[in-house]
Amino acid sequence: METPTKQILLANYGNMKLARYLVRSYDDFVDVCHTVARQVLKCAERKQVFNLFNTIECTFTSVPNTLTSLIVGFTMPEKILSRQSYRSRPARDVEIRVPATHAPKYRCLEGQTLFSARISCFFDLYLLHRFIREAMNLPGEGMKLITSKRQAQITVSRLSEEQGGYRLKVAFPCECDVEKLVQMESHFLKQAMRSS
Amino acid sequence: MTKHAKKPESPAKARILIVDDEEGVITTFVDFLTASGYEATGYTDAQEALQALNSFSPDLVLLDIMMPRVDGYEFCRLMKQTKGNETIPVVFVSGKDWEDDAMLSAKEGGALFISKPVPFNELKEIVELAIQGQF
Repeated sequence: METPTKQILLANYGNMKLARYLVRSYDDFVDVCHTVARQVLKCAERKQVFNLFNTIECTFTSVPNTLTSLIVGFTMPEKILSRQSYRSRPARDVEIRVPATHAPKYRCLEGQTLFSARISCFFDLYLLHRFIREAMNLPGEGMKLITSKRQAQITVSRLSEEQGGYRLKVAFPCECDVEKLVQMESHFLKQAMRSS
Repeated sequence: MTKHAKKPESPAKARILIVDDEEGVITTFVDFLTASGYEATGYTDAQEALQALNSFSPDLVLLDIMMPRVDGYEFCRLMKQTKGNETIPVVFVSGKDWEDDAMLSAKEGGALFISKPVPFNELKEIVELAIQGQF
Protein backbone atom coordinates (compact mmCIF):
# COMPACT_ATOMS: atom_id res chain seq x y z
CA MET A 1 0.00 0.00 0.00
CA GLU A 2 1.56 3.31 -1.13
CA THR A 3 1.45 6.36 1.14
CA PRO A 4 -0.54 9.35 -0.17
CA THR A 5 2.75 11.26 -0.70
CA LYS A 6 4.20 8.41 -2.72
CA GLN A 7 1.01 8.15 -4.77
CA ILE A 8 1.27 11.84 -5.68
CA LEU A 9 4.93 11.44 -6.65
CA LEU A 10 4.18 8.39 -8.77
CA ALA A 11 1.36 10.26 -10.52
CA ASN A 12 3.60 13.26 -11.22
CA TYR A 13 6.94 11.65 -11.94
CA GLY A 14 6.16 8.16 -13.22
CA ASN A 15 6.74 4.67 -11.92
CA MET A 16 9.71 3.76 -9.80
CA LYS A 17 12.87 2.58 -11.58
CA LEU A 18 16.04 1.26 -10.08
CA ALA A 19 19.28 3.08 -10.87
CA ARG A 20 22.52 1.48 -9.69
CA TYR A 21 26.00 2.96 -9.60
CA LEU A 22 29.38 1.63 -8.66
CA VAL A 23 31.02 3.69 -5.93
CA ARG A 24 34.75 3.08 -5.55
CA SER A 25 35.88 6.03 -3.49
CA TYR A 26 34.78 8.93 -1.34
CA ASP A 27 34.80 11.15 -4.43
CA ASP A 28 32.44 8.72 -6.19
CA PHE A 29 30.18 8.83 -3.14
CA VAL A 30 30.08 12.63 -3.40
CA ASP A 31 29.43 12.42 -7.16
CA VAL A 32 26.50 10.06 -6.64
CA CYS A 33 24.92 12.27 -3.96
CA HIS A 34 25.46 15.38 -6.04
CA THR A 35 24.11 13.78 -9.23
CA VAL A 36 20.89 12.49 -7.66
CA ALA A 37 20.26 15.78 -5.78
CA ARG A 38 20.96 17.86 -8.86
CA GLN A 39 18.65 15.70 -10.94
CA VAL A 40 15.79 16.00 -8.43
CA LEU A 41 16.27 19.79 -8.31
CA LYS A 42 16.33 19.94 -12.10
CA CYS A 43 13.29 17.80 -12.71
CA ALA A 44 10.99 18.27 -9.74
CA GLU A 45 8.70 20.96 -8.43
CA ARG A 46 10.25 22.89 -5.54
CA LYS A 47 7.58 21.77 -3.06
CA GLN A 48 8.23 18.11 -3.95
CA VAL A 49 12.01 18.11 -3.51
CA PHE A 50 12.00 17.12 0.17
CA ASN A 51 9.33 14.44 -0.42
CA LEU A 52 11.35 13.00 -3.29
CA PHE A 53 14.53 12.95 -1.18
CA ASN A 54 12.58 10.92 1.37
CA THR A 55 10.89 8.64 -1.15
CA ILE A 56 13.99 7.60 -3.11
CA GLU A 57 14.99 4.31 -1.49
CA CYS A 58 18.65 3.32 -1.21
CA THR A 59 20.13 -0.15 -1.37
CA PHE A 60 23.76 -1.21 -1.06
CA THR A 61 25.71 -4.26 -2.22
CA SER A 62 29.35 -4.65 -1.29
CA VAL A 63 31.55 -5.83 -4.13
CA PRO A 64 33.44 -8.83 -2.70
CA ASN A 65 37.24 -8.84 -2.62
CA THR A 66 37.53 -5.09 -3.09
CA LEU A 67 38.45 -2.58 -0.40
CA THR A 68 35.73 -0.01 -0.80
CA SER A 69 33.63 -0.76 -3.88
CA LEU A 70 29.90 -0.64 -3.33
CA ILE A 71 26.93 -0.88 -5.66
CA VAL A 72 24.51 1.83 -4.59
CA GLY A 73 20.93 1.52 -5.82
CA PHE A 74 18.28 4.23 -5.90
CA THR A 75 14.63 3.46 -6.51
CA MET A 76 13.37 6.67 -8.01
CA PRO A 77 10.58 7.90 -10.30
CA GLU A 78 11.33 7.45 -13.99
CA LYS A 79 10.94 11.11 -14.92
CA ILE A 80 13.67 12.08 -12.44
CA LEU A 81 16.07 10.05 -14.57
CA SER A 82 15.26 12.12 -17.62
CA ARG A 83 17.16 14.94 -19.26
CA GLN A 84 13.88 16.83 -19.44
CA SER A 85 12.59 19.09 -16.67
CA TYR A 86 9.01 18.52 -15.49
CA ARG A 87 8.68 21.46 -13.17
CA SER A 88 6.79 24.65 -13.82
CA ARG A 89 8.90 26.83 -11.53
CA PRO A 90 12.66 26.65 -11.10
CA ALA A 91 13.62 24.85 -7.90
CA ARG A 92 17.24 26.04 -7.74
CA ASP A 93 18.16 25.11 -4.20
CA VAL A 94 15.81 24.32 -1.36
CA GLU A 95 16.15 24.86 2.37
CA ILE A 96 15.94 21.64 4.31
CA ARG A 97 15.64 21.43 8.09
CA VAL A 98 17.72 18.67 9.59
CA PRO A 99 15.97 16.76 12.39
CA ALA A 100 18.36 16.20 15.33
CA THR A 101 17.39 12.50 15.28
CA HIS A 102 18.82 12.24 11.76
CA ALA A 103 22.22 13.72 12.56
CA PRO A 104 25.04 11.43 11.41
CA LYS A 105 27.26 9.98 14.12
CA TYR A 106 31.03 10.49 14.35
CA ARG A 107 34.00 9.23 16.29
CA CYS A 108 37.61 10.37 16.41
CA LEU A 109 40.21 8.01 17.81
CA GLU A 110 43.33 6.01 17.05
CA GLY A 111 44.26 8.00 13.98
CA GLN A 112 40.84 7.72 12.44
CA THR A 113 37.74 9.87 12.01
CA LEU A 114 34.62 7.84 11.38
CA PHE A 115 31.28 9.16 10.17
CA SER A 116 28.27 6.88 10.06
CA ALA A 117 24.54 7.04 9.50
CA ARG A 118 21.53 4.82 9.18
CA ILE A 119 20.46 5.00 5.55
CA SER A 120 17.09 4.03 4.21
CA CYS A 121 16.32 6.83 1.78
CA PHE A 122 18.25 9.37 -0.25
CA PHE A 123 17.66 12.08 2.36
CA ASP A 124 19.74 10.06 4.87
CA LEU A 125 22.55 9.60 2.35
CA TYR A 126 22.49 13.24 1.33
CA LEU A 127 22.59 14.30 4.96
CA LEU A 128 25.69 12.19 5.59
CA HIS A 129 27.36 13.70 2.52
CA ARG A 130 26.52 17.26 3.63
CA PHE A 131 27.65 16.57 7.19
CA ILE A 132 31.08 15.38 6.01
CA ARG A 133 31.27 18.32 3.61
CA GLU A 134 30.60 20.65 6.53
CA ALA A 135 33.40 18.95 8.51
CA MET A 136 35.71 19.46 5.53
CA ASN A 137 35.04 23.19 5.80
CA LEU A 138 36.35 23.34 9.37
CA PRO A 139 39.61 25.27 9.66
CA GLY A 140 42.48 22.84 10.24
CA GLU A 141 40.37 19.72 10.71
CA GLY A 142 38.86 20.08 7.26
CA MET A 143 42.26 19.99 5.61
CA LYS A 144 43.06 16.71 7.41
CA LEU A 145 39.91 15.16 5.95
CA ILE A 146 40.45 16.56 2.47
CA THR A 147 44.05 15.38 2.23
CA SER A 148 43.17 11.87 3.43
CA LYS A 149 39.94 11.39 1.45
CA ARG A 150 41.65 9.26 -1.21
CA GLN A 151 42.32 6.65 1.46
CA ALA A 152 38.85 6.92 3.00
CA GLN A 153 37.07 3.59 3.32
CA ILE A 154 33.34 3.22 2.82
CA THR A 155 31.67 0.17 4.30
CA VAL A 156 28.08 -0.85 4.69
CA SER A 157 26.14 -3.34 6.75
CA ARG A 158 22.49 -4.27 6.61
CA LEU A 159 20.49 -3.46 9.73
CA SER A 160 17.93 -5.78 11.25
CA GLU A 161 14.44 -5.90 9.77
CA GLU A 162 13.03 -4.03 12.77
CA GLN A 163 15.52 -1.18 12.36
CA GLY A 164 15.36 -1.23 8.57
CA GLY A 165 17.90 0.17 6.12
CA TYR A 166 21.69 0.07 6.26
CA ARG A 167 24.53 1.42 8.39
CA LEU A 168 26.97 3.29 6.13
CA LYS A 169 30.40 4.15 7.51
CA VAL A 170 32.97 6.49 6.00
CA ALA A 171 36.35 6.22 7.73
CA PHE A 172 39.10 8.79 7.11
CA PRO A 173 42.66 7.83 8.12
CA CYS A 174 43.22 10.99 10.18
CA GLU A 175 42.19 11.99 13.67
CA CYS A 176 40.12 15.16 13.94
CA ASP A 177 39.50 17.13 17.11
CA VAL A 178 36.16 15.79 18.29
CA GLU A 179 35.32 19.07 20.07
CA LYS A 180 35.43 20.89 16.76
CA LEU A 181 33.09 18.32 15.23
CA VAL A 182 30.69 18.75 18.18
CA GLN A 183 30.57 22.50 17.51
CA MET A 184 30.12 21.90 13.81
CA GLU A 185 27.27 19.46 14.46
CA SER A 186 25.48 21.96 16.69
CA HIS A 187 25.75 24.62 13.99
CA PHE A 188 24.68 22.12 11.31
CA LEU A 189 21.51 21.20 13.18
CA LYS A 190 20.54 24.80 14.01
CA GLN A 191 20.68 26.06 10.46
CA ALA A 192 18.50 25.01 7.57
CA MET A 193 20.59 23.10 5.04
CA ARG A 194 20.48 24.42 1.50
CA SER A 195 20.22 21.73 -1.11
CA SER A 196 22.76 23.23 -3.50
CA MET B 1 36.32 -8.00 -38.59
CA THR B 2 34.67 -6.71 -35.47
CA LYS B 3 33.95 -9.90 -33.62
CA HIS B 4 36.35 -11.17 -30.99
CA ALA B 5 35.38 -14.50 -29.50
CA LYS B 6 37.05 -17.17 -27.45
CA LYS B 7 35.50 -20.41 -26.39
CA PRO B 8 35.87 -21.49 -22.78
CA GLU B 9 37.46 -24.81 -21.93
CA SER B 10 34.32 -26.17 -20.25
CA PRO B 11 30.75 -25.94 -21.61
CA ALA B 12 27.71 -24.31 -20.00
CA LYS B 13 29.61 -21.29 -18.78
CA ALA B 14 27.88 -17.94 -18.55
CA ARG B 15 28.00 -15.92 -21.76
CA ILE B 16 29.07 -12.33 -21.79
CA LEU B 17 28.68 -9.94 -24.70
CA ILE B 18 30.95 -6.89 -24.81
CA VAL B 19 30.08 -3.95 -27.03
CA ASP B 20 32.67 -1.18 -27.23
CA ASP B 21 34.03 0.75 -30.18
CA GLU B 22 37.57 0.45 -28.83
CA GLU B 23 39.09 -2.77 -30.04
CA GLY B 24 41.67 -2.74 -27.24
CA VAL B 25 38.95 -2.73 -24.58
CA ILE B 26 37.21 -5.69 -26.21
CA THR B 27 40.39 -7.72 -26.55
CA THR B 28 41.32 -7.06 -22.93
CA PHE B 29 37.85 -7.90 -21.58
CA VAL B 30 37.40 -10.99 -23.77
CA ASP B 31 40.83 -12.37 -22.84
CA PHE B 32 40.33 -11.74 -19.15
CA LEU B 33 36.77 -13.06 -18.96
CA THR B 34 37.64 -16.15 -21.01
CA ALA B 35 40.57 -16.84 -18.71
CA SER B 36 38.13 -16.45 -15.80
CA GLY B 37 35.94 -19.23 -17.21
CA TYR B 38 33.24 -17.34 -19.10
CA GLU B 39 32.31 -17.50 -22.75
CA ALA B 40 33.01 -13.97 -23.90
CA THR B 41 32.58 -12.32 -27.25
CA GLY B 42 32.88 -8.71 -28.32
CA TYR B 43 31.85 -6.33 -31.07
CA THR B 44 33.14 -2.90 -31.96
CA ASP B 45 30.02 -2.29 -34.04
CA ALA B 46 26.78 -2.07 -32.03
CA GLN B 47 24.61 -2.93 -35.04
CA GLU B 48 26.50 -6.14 -35.60
CA ALA B 49 26.23 -6.89 -31.90
CA LEU B 50 22.45 -6.42 -32.07
CA GLN B 51 22.27 -8.92 -34.91
CA ALA B 52 24.37 -11.38 -32.95
CA LEU B 53 22.16 -11.26 -29.85
CA ASN B 54 19.88 -14.11 -30.86
CA SER B 55 22.62 -16.50 -31.83
CA PHE B 56 24.87 -15.74 -28.85
CA SER B 57 22.13 -15.44 -26.16
CA PRO B 58 24.22 -13.62 -23.58
CA ASP B 59 23.65 -13.84 -19.84
CA LEU B 60 25.15 -10.38 -19.43
CA VAL B 61 26.04 -7.43 -21.66
CA LEU B 62 28.92 -5.04 -20.92
CA LEU B 63 28.11 -1.94 -22.92
CA ASP B 64 29.97 1.25 -23.79
CA ILE B 65 27.93 4.46 -24.18
CA MET B 66 29.73 6.62 -26.72
CA MET B 67 29.79 4.67 -29.97
CA PRO B 68 29.29 5.68 -33.61
CA ARG B 69 26.05 4.83 -35.46
CA VAL B 70 24.26 3.17 -32.52
CA ASP B 71 25.16 4.43 -29.05
CA GLY B 72 24.88 2.42 -25.85
CA TYR B 73 21.48 3.85 -24.91
CA GLU B 74 19.96 2.98 -28.26
CA PHE B 75 21.53 -0.46 -28.19
CA CYS B 76 20.02 -1.10 -24.76
CA ARG B 77 16.61 0.20 -25.82
CA LEU B 78 16.56 -1.89 -29.01
CA MET B 79 17.81 -4.96 -27.20
CA LYS B 80 15.18 -4.71 -24.46
CA GLN B 81 12.42 -4.30 -27.07
CA THR B 82 13.20 -7.72 -28.48
CA LYS B 83 11.25 -10.55 -26.92
CA GLY B 84 13.45 -12.77 -24.80
CA ASN B 85 16.08 -10.09 -24.24
CA GLU B 86 14.17 -7.95 -21.72
CA THR B 87 15.71 -9.62 -18.70
CA ILE B 88 19.34 -9.75 -19.83
CA PRO B 89 21.25 -7.48 -17.42
CA VAL B 90 23.17 -4.64 -19.05
CA VAL B 91 26.14 -3.05 -17.31
CA PHE B 92 27.04 0.31 -18.80
CA VAL B 93 30.81 0.74 -18.75
CA SER B 94 31.53 4.33 -19.62
CA GLY B 95 34.56 6.51 -19.93
CA LYS B 96 32.36 9.52 -19.42
CA ASP B 97 31.65 11.14 -16.10
CA TRP B 98 28.55 10.89 -13.98
CA GLU B 99 25.73 13.38 -14.35
CA ASP B 100 23.42 12.72 -17.32
CA ASP B 101 24.98 9.40 -18.32
CA ALA B 102 24.49 7.82 -14.95
CA MET B 103 20.82 8.79 -14.96
CA LEU B 104 20.07 7.94 -18.59
CA SER B 105 21.68 4.53 -18.36
CA ALA B 106 19.12 3.58 -15.70
CA LYS B 107 16.27 5.11 -17.68
CA GLU B 108 17.18 2.97 -20.67
CA GLY B 109 17.14 -0.18 -18.59
CA GLY B 110 20.76 -0.53 -17.49
CA ALA B 111 21.28 -2.70 -14.43
CA LEU B 112 24.43 -0.87 -13.34
CA PHE B 113 26.58 2.10 -14.35
CA ILE B 114 30.33 1.85 -13.85
CA SER B 115 33.08 4.16 -15.00
CA LYS B 116 36.31 3.18 -16.76
CA PRO B 117 38.95 2.10 -16.05
CA VAL B 118 37.68 -1.12 -14.49
CA PRO B 119 40.26 -3.13 -12.52
CA PHE B 120 40.19 -6.84 -13.37
CA ASN B 121 39.39 -8.02 -9.85
CA GLU B 122 36.47 -5.63 -9.70
CA LEU B 123 35.23 -6.64 -13.17
CA LYS B 124 35.26 -10.28 -12.19
CA GLU B 125 33.27 -9.67 -9.00
CA ILE B 126 30.72 -7.48 -10.77
CA VAL B 127 30.24 -10.04 -13.54
CA GLU B 128 29.79 -12.73 -10.91
CA LEU B 129 27.21 -10.67 -8.99
CA ALA B 130 25.32 -9.97 -12.21
CA ILE B 131 25.34 -13.62 -13.32
CA GLN B 132 24.07 -14.66 -9.89
CA GLY B 133 21.24 -12.16 -10.23
CA GLN B 134 22.36 -10.18 -7.20
CA PHE B 135 21.63 -6.89 -8.92
